[in-house]
Amino acid sequence: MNLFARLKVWERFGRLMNSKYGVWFINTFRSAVELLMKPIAAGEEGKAPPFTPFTKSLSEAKVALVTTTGIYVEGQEPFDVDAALGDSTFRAIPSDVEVSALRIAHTHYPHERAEEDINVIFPVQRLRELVEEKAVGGAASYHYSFGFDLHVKELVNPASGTAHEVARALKEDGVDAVLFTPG
Amino acid sequence: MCNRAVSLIARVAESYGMGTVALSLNREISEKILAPRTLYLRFPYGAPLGEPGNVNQHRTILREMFDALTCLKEPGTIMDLPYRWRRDTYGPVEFGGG
Repeated sequence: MNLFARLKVWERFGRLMNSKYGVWFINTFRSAVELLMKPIAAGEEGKAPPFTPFTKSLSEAKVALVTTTGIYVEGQEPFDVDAALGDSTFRAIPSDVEVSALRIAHTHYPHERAEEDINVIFPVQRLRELVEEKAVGGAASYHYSFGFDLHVKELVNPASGTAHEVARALKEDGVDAVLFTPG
Repeated sequence: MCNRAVSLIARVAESYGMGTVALSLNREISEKILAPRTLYLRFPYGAPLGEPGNVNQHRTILREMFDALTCLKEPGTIMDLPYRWRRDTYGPVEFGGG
């Protein structure tokens, strides 16, 4: 029998954790973790979302796509997939982009299906078809893509957040509706 | 994580006066931070619109998104879509010009 088992380490550890000292330790540890997580939480949990009623006819509406799947156009800088907290930048994708020029820089979902047909995460060709059919009024000049990102507080910061930057650009382009796709 | 960023960015876009609809592949995360309008799908990660090349399936999901845009009136609604990944067959979808 090894020393670890002979000293009944797990039994002692369990008894210690059940004592008032153990409870104190776990509570302190938990608050420390929560405190450390605070700078990256967005503080939006439990808040009611804003709402803009959509009253326009779809055949007159300008539609944009926004995706968090890390796609970019060949030649643009790929998203940083090595950063521990992710990358909160975005890429503007021209709506007439050649789909064969789209690439993916994201390590948190499987890419096989999107590599076969980008429309499964970014339905840019489907939207073009709907515009041609005159079912949708038009596509935005640019669609937008974000990468994997844990800097959510920074993302929604009204002064510097990239989410605001994208929303302003969409608004200036005259966009009425935005379709969001995750990875 | 992607689903969380989707909700957060959708909220910002909506606050600028645009109508937004978000697809979700993780209901639990979408419930924590509600987007203005969410459609939850039991599809695998990496394919929220469906299978590669299945145009009818993609159009079905897009039709649902555009319908949600006009029909969902309660901020923060999560609607569960009934589609099953491969066991449903998807017919042609007509868009009646809005």
